[in-house]
Amino acid sequence: MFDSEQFKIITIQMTKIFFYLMFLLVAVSSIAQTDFGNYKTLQSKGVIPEDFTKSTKSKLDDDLAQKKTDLTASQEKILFEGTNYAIDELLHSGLVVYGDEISKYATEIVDRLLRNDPSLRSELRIYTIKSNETNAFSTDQGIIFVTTGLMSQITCEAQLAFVLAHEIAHYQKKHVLETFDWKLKNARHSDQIVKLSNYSKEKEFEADKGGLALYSAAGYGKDYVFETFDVLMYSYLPFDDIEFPFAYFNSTNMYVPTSLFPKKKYEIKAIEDYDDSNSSHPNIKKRKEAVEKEIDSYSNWETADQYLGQNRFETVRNIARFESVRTDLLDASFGSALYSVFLLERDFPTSAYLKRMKAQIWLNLMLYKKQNKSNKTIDNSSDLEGESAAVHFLLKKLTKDGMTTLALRQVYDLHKQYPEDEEISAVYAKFIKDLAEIKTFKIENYSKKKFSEAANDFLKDKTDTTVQLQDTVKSGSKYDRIKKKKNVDNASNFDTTKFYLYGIGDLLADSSFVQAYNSNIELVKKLEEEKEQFEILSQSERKKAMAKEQDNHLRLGLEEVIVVEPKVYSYKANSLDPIKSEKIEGIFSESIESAADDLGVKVYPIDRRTLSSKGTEGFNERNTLISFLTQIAQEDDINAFPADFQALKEIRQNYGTNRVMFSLVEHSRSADINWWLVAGSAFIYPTLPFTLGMYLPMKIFKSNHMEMNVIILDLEKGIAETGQSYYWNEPTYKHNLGSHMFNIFNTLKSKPL
Amino acid sequence: MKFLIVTIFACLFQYSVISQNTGLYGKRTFIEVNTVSNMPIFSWLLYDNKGYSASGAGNSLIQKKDLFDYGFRLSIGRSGKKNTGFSFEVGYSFTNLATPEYASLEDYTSVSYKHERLDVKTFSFMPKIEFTSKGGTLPVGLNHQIGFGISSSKIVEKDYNYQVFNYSGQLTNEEVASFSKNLVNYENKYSGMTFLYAFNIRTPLSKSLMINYGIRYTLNLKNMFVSDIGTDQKYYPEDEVRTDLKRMRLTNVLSFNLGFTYAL
Repeated sequence: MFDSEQFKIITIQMTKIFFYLMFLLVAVSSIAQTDFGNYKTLQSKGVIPEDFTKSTKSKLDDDLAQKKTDLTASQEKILFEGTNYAIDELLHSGLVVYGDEISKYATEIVDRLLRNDPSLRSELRIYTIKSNETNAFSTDQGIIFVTTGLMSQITCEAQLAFVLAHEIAHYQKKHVLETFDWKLKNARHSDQIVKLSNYSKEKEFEADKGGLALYSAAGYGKDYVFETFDVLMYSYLPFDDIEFPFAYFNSTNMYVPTSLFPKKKYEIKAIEDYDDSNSSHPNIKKRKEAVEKEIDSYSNWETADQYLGQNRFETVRNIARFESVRTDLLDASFGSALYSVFLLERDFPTSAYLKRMKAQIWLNLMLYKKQNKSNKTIDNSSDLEGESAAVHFLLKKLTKDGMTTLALRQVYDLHKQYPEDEEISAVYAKFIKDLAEIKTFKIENYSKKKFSEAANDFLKDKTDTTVQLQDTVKSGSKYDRIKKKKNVDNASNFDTTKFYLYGIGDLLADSSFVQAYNSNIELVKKLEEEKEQFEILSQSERKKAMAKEQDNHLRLGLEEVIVVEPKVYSYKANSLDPIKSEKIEGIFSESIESAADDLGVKVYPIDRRTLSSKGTEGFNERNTLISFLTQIAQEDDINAFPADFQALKEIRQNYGTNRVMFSLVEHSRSADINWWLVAGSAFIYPTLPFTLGMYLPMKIFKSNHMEMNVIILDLEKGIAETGQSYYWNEPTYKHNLGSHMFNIFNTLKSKPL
Repeated sequence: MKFLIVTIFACLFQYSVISQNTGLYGKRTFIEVNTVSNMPIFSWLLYDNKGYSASGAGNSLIQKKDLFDYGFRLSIGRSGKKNTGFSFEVGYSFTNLATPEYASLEDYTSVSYKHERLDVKTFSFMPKIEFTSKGGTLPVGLNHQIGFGISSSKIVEKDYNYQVFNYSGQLTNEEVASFSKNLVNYENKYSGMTFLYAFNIRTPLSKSLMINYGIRYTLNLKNMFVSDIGTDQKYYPEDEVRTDLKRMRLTNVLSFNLGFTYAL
């Protein structure tokens, strides 16, 4: 038997062991769950929180009922309408996830920070935003958002803990509400921007101070606070700064000359004491100084940099870093994406996900270069900093043929390396198809030799002056000499700037590549012939053909479609009315379903109304589809390959259709009456009857402005199949929307003429 | 997010309008019933002769403006596959006409009188073209209508209140008693061509029913003719009636319509 003291000690020990085992179990299971080889983009997990299913209107009503502030009822309405709407737009933007590894990790840190304040803890929810911005922020509704960008940049748990503590302090001190109140009281100040900046900085100092108290009490070490500021200062750089090897793209078949890489290192320019006079946040130097003073007021500092384990931290951070590649891909920041892949490949050299991303990056680089838009996807020369500059520099320096060939080399190699990988095969197939459309790319211009062979021949040729002389003297006609000059396999024609001409010799010998390329060339030729035939038509015939083409534009023979989040923006005066917009959104969704039903078109709605029943699966599907739309919309003349190829395939299989519809309605009321004209008319008496009897009524009747946009995406082809904009002088009543949707579905359902 | 979505759609589409299916939920044939009304404001502004109305009991008359005219219209139409359609309209409208206050007699003398405004009923028949701006979906929404048809007015015979004051002329008691009956030829029909321009909004209330409202501008063309001309000389001669009717209809150029449209 144990005495009570012994029993107590044993109990404590047992409890510790239990929690230690539990911790290990959680940590191990968390690691086991993330397969970075076949990584899938971060998805929401668990039960869908109320924040995502509740309407903006009911959130507003709840906030108003609580009477949280001393503001008047109308001021509160403006405040809470604005904040709830903005938050809901973000929650439903396709960028936010809940219950995922990052949110869970941040949530556990918040648990620790607020272990002594369960009441405050119960008010907070933590979600992740898929964004490469390094940021976190809290809202007055008690939501803390953490970006994947922030998670990818930090080096330990404690840094995230300080950021979260800072955000909790903002919430605790009601800074959002105070700032709104301040703005109301100082609305008429001439130097409002400077004053607001100063006011905002005060709040940031307060949040640092309040956050430090929570952070210290949670047992994290003080040194990591300063490291957090370093994270923020250098957050515009990639998540690591490692030298990019110039031989990275070289292989037995391809050599990229070092002359294409920068000859100097690009300095990192960030400084702590930058001018913050118009910023909302104080500069890093001031924040560090303020925190340094505050740190001394806490005597019981501990030294921990983590409580959730190093493995767990690294797993979560790697998730964020994998996400950064996808985010860059969606944002068409291909230079940054390529550098991030390089960084991650060092730890995950065999990750199929990274290979897939790499194949997609190169395909997109080729597509953007083809349309002369690649500069948009690479950092500006003036922005080059750190080691990643080498990648941007190279991509900038590559000619169209150089980029196309290097991209082809990379995608071809990946396809050969992973012949069974469906995604890489699809990228490869699309690459060959688009390659055939590049007129400057001709396989007959390419050498069968490798770069090294051509270089050796060149050197040999240069040194063997006898042969050169004989050649010059003996070679035949002028035309033979011209042909020889044009022949890439002629040793004397070797040029390092055209390194790419010696990079695909093995592809030219690969019958499957040549066959695939040639069959796509045939398709291109066929299209060109059709175009030529069109050109020789008479004007009236052309008009007729174009009208038929336009008519067929929307005739898809549509039978089934996934309808995602029909959006409505209804404006009063010049500003958006979020509550009315939300109400009409509900009506619009019902109208779409009813119209489709009348025509026998099967509709699968995925919108805010259906989230309660569809739950997390529906939410994830919706996020994936919104991301796809975002990607497609980057450039209207570029059909980007869908970044979430696998997830889209699953959606196709789940619903049994390839088609997705997005729709948007914008409505405003404005008569646009020219009152000067009316006044003028009163002076010129005889015109008054026309003004009053015709001009004014016409303007009033035309005061409703409704614009409807509908787009159908093809998930299998990865393209926007069709889209159309409509404009009517009509209100957004149920049957106005329904009737128009009926007509649109009727057209979509019909077969091409 | 809002900016993102709007930008996405703006990026994806240039404004282009193609033909599309029209109709209210695909229904393109429609029957329409309208009430048409107007306040003859221009008449008030332009003319001094307000006319008389019966007041209270007895035969007393008071000078009073014509405050309100009205009518009914029935039309049937069909919208085309693009943004045009056609319809036929029949209408029946009621207005009234202020009489002159003096009548010349055959012996070149005259009498003065006050007569209750004469009721006028007008029947019209008109084919119309309807059209919308590009992309419109007739019959729903804002549409413009242009019509060209025939209208025929007739003065309603009934017991009007009136007072006759013998001025330079002399009327017998019998003639005074039958003054109203002999004022105008009630059998006459005053017909003419009518041109219509209207803009109208049809707002759907259900999958078949729409409420419609709008403004109509009717122009009665100059060559109004009189049919069934009577033979008797009247105190208010036909050519004057015709002129006054033309003037009245011209000043009633603008009217409002409100009704229902049923789509088949």
